[in-house]
Amino acid sequence: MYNTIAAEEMGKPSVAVSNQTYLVEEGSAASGRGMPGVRVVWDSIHSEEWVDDRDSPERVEAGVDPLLDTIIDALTRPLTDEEKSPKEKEPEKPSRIFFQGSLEEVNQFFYRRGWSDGLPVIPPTDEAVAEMLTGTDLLPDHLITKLGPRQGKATMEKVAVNAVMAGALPVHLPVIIAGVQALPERATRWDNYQDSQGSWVPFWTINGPIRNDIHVNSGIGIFSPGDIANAAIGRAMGLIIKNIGGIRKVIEDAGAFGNPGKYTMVTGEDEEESPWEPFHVERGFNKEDSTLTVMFPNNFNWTFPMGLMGADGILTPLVSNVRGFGLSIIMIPPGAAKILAQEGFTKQKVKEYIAEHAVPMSPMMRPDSEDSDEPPLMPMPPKPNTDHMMVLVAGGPGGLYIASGAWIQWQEYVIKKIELPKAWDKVVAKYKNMIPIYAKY
Amino acid sequence: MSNKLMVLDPVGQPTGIFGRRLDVDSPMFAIHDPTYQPRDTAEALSSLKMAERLDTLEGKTVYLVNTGFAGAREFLEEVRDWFSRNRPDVKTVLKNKTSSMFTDEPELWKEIQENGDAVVFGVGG
Repeated sequence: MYNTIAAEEMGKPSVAVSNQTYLVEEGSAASGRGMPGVRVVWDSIHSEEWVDDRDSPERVEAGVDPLLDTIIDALTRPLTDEEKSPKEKEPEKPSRIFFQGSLEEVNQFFYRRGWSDGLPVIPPTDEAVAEMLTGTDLLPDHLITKLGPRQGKATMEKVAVNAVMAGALPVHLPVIIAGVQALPERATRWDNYQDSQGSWVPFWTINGPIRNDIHVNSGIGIFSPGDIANAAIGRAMGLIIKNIGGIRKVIEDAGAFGNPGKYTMVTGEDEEESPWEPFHVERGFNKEDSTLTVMFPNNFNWTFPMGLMGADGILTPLVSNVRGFGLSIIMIPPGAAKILAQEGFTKQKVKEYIAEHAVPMSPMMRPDSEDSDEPPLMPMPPKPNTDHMMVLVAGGPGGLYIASGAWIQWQEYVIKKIELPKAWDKVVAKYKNMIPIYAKY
Repeated sequence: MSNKLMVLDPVGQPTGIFGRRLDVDSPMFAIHDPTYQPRDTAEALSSLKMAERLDTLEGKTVYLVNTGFAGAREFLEEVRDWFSRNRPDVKTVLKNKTSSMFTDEPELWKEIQENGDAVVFGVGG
């Protein structure tokens, strides 16, 4: 819809033809850009149907021609009063305290408002939010940034409210703030990825000493439930994206299948057990800095050496599991990383090996496009770019894990330094025992 | 009422009112660029306006822009052919976005600004 809005803004009457797959709320896209509306003609052909005009010109003709009157009408029918002079919206008077009720009532109210992720939330009371804010020196009304597409103001208090709802602890707040700062950076392309049909997932990587302060899991079962830092930080970011950024399922988020990773996808790097320098040091930060990195994959593969020994056994499945030539996060557990290091591999050499041995992937060309000037549907570089790969030492023994931004190569890793409050040690001390201690059977 | 919890609103303001970009001189084609997205609420900024519609397409140039989603080329080629068959008084120009449906296309917007009278985006807009 943004193309159409851009053309309208240029003074050119426009119409978007969209198909059934994009049954998102076009009015949201328009109002998010300050436009009274957009005119849309709904196509009857689903996007997954590949209707080729060489094979079935009659089908194309039969599908398109009946829409022409509507398309012409959209370009020539005078603007309605509402389109011409939209009713001015009332200035917002946000109330800080929004609801009063029991735990159950709060949860039902929030759910029915579309403010939760489907799981119960911790009620963001004044007391809980005040406690959350002990995790930062920023004042409650401090505007961290604005998050699109709704350009909601991510004030420190709003961020803390959502962090409370997610069950995060005050020690998680500095990481969440860094996430809020990272998202709007253009390189993330989050405005595209967060609401795309591809159901991309914000994948958060934490480096530096804060991992140990807040008990981020970087070992066995990173992505399984059970670790509050991994669970709550990602969940808080999901709620922030929804409630402050305004990306709501089905309304703005057109993710065709969705992705469970949208609940949370957070990892640390096992820097203590790694034979290589950690990711944030590769990117120019000091080892003593703590950082948060985000990218948007949607393709996740676990693999293993499959009988091969040594470096070949590790690298061969990596080569075959890096999907597409977008960004890839390659997670190698410490044991495998040490084998590679003993055989002379650095992180960079691992990337170069994958790039060198990857099977070239054909761009998604139209069958007849070689003879035309039509660009490929998805341009592909001939080989994966080592700059698009992130090698992390993480995970439990027994396998390798690859998260890929399949096809898409226009995003970049965005890394932010995590700023800690002055009283960080005190906050950490208060929550240092927040770790699960399982009974021995 | 001791069991009643008073809770705070989690929604970032503004929730539904947006206005013109603060920098009115920012390029029109920057609509995809978050740098230029609206930065304030409707109270402070005026709304964008939809373009006035054409009285007729006769003698006009309609750009048909293929955004790159599956089916768009076939769809727009047939739109072009339909105009050739049924409305030869309308000039159509079929253009493919050269990068992707996700990225900006300043040169194309400039061309449309200079030479086009109306635009059909397909599919997926």
